[in-house]
Amino acid sequence: MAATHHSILVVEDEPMLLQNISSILEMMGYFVLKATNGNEGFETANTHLPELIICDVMMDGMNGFELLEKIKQQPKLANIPFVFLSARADINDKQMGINGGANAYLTKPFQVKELLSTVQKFIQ
Amino acid sequence: MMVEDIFQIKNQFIFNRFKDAILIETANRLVDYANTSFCTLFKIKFTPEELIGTDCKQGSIVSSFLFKNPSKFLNRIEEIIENGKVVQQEEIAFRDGTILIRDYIPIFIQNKIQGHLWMYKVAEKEHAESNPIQQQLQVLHQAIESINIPIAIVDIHNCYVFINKSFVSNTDKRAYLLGKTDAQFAAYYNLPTNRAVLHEQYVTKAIASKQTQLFEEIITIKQQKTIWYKTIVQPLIGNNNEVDAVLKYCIDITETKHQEQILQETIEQYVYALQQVNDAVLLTNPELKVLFTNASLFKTFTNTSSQKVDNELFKLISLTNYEFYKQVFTVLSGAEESAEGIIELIQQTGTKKWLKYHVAKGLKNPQNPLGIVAVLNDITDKVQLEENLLEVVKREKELNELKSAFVNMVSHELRTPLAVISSGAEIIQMMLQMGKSTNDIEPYTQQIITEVERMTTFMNDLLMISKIEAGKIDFNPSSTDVFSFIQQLANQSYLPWKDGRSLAIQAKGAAKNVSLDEKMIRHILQNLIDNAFKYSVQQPAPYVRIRYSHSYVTISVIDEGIGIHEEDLQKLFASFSRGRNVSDIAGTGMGLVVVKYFTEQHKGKILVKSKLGKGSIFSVKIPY
Repeated sequence: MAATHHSILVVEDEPMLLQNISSILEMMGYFVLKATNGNEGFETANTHLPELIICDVMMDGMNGFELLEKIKQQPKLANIPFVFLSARADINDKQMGINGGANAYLTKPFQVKELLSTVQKFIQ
Repeated sequence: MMVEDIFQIKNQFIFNRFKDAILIETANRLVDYANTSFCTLFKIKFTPEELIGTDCKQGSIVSSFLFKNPSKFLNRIEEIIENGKVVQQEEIAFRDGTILIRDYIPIFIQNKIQGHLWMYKVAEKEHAESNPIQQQLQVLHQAIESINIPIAIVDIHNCYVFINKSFVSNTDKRAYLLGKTDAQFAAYYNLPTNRAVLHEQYVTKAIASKQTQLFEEIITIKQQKTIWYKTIVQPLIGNNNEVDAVLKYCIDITETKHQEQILQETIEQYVYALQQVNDAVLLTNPELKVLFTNASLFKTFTNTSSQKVDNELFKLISLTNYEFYKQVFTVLSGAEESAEGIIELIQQTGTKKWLKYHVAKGLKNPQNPLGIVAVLNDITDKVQLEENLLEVVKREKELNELKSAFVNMVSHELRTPLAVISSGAEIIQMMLQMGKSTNDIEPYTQQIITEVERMTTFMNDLLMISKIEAGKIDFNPSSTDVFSFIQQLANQSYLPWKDGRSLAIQAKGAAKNVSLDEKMIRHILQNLIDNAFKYSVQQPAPYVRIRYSHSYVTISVIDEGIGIHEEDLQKLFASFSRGRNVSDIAGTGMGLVVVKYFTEQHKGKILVKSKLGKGSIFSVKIPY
């Protein structure tokens, strides 16, 4: 199983889903940082420097694409692996995410093993 | 043969040989004898024989007009007769400048006056030539005689005292006319009297007003040639400021009239051509008074050919169209040669019209300066076509955007709960494997139930919207008692609601029946009341307040729930809008879209008042 102190930031505006993702990752031994919108996500990333960011796309205020752009502009955050987990399943959205520098683009609904294998890919 | 007759013949025989004019009057002033020279000198139409026995006083009045000073001539005759003395070599002047020498001898028999002998002769030429002024007058007289302008002088009684050749060319007629009026002339020669009447009218006017009169007349000569005259009737005012006589002369304006006629015909041709043009044409004077418009203008403005628009038209355009007004003045002031633009007019019927205009400065004609020339072209069809086309393109674009936004939203609204359900189910599975308790698992099973409910409502709303969009929801209003309708609705679902709280209903004002579509109003109220219960858990039960006003009824659903964030209020009725504080409450963000649509079907309005943490009031206002 994964190392105990790996921290993952989850940015998701749907509270139930944020809770479920966090529960799954915590059960797998990860340390989860939670944020319910883009701004909150950016601040948490800045202060805690997580090892991975899992982020929703459609959120009020700063959306996922905007958050990614902001993170890529911060030298100390730019290299953190970034995974989108979005209800926007359109091929164009996926392309946009990847072009923006995301390392993976998962779509909702997702399977737990799909999420975990993606996480393991970026956190040894 | 009587002795007297022989004497008479002798007299004639002898006297007719005299060059001098001789007149013998009886004591009571009847013509006893006159010779041919006398008749000729005084331009008398009768023969000497015909004159015998006629009244000399009358005759002298007629003849007096030949003299420069008619009254002086008459007075002198009276004086001479009164004096009863011989007069020798007395000079008197004709109006034409000829000087006469007069001799007079009273005839006495046995100291009693028996008659008067008058002799006149024209003064010797040497006499005239010796006087330069006289000479000048002679020339002038000849000139007036031969000039090709009809000239005549009448006395204040409208009798001719002078006529030149051009006025009457026939010598006999001319001689006859002297001392006569136009009416007498017309009667004698059996001519129509209208010209005589006209001339006499103007002479009378000229005398009365002491002002020159002008009029135009048409004369047909020998039933072939038509001449236009401008006739000038000018009073000749003497030293005593009285009208002595009246001068008439006629100026031939036939050529001018012909030119005018040609010009008129040309103008008519142009006007006719302009009338055929589809564009409206407008000419104004510098004060912007409309001088000319064509038929298209009226069609453009009133759809009729009526000329009522007239001056008002310009006001109509300029007042309602500041830009046009400005352009007109720019052109009028000379700042620009011309200007173009488009006028947007709202007609009395309420329909819009678009006119493309071209305004140019009018011609510089000092007599009749033009203000502006405006050409208006009705481009309503073109504009509407363009607008329709743009509208279609815009709608098409909007529809495409809407479609893609809709697909995204549907996708999001289904995928998000599905993600919760699927992840929840997997967590339950993992927990079971880990031997967790039912209490640990319970929140995840509840999640699944809530999210399935949310998806069901979403599907129902989606179905309703698609029905509305397809026009499958008809508006069927009927007179409804609002209070009993809501009471019935409450009985069915809210007495009590599923959490045990019950809906209260209040009514204020005089109850009135309202025209409502029951199917729609039920949907509106269920949606609002459900929301009120949903967002006020653990709080006092919501209630409905009905308020009957003068022209509308207001149905308000009032709760003391979580309230709505100020920023969320603005987009409350947009598709898929959900408040930031409701994510753990089942809802789709589509309910209020339908509520708003149904309210608008009733020509009503929906209003929201809300305070975060205090509660919300949703009011539906429907006119009677």
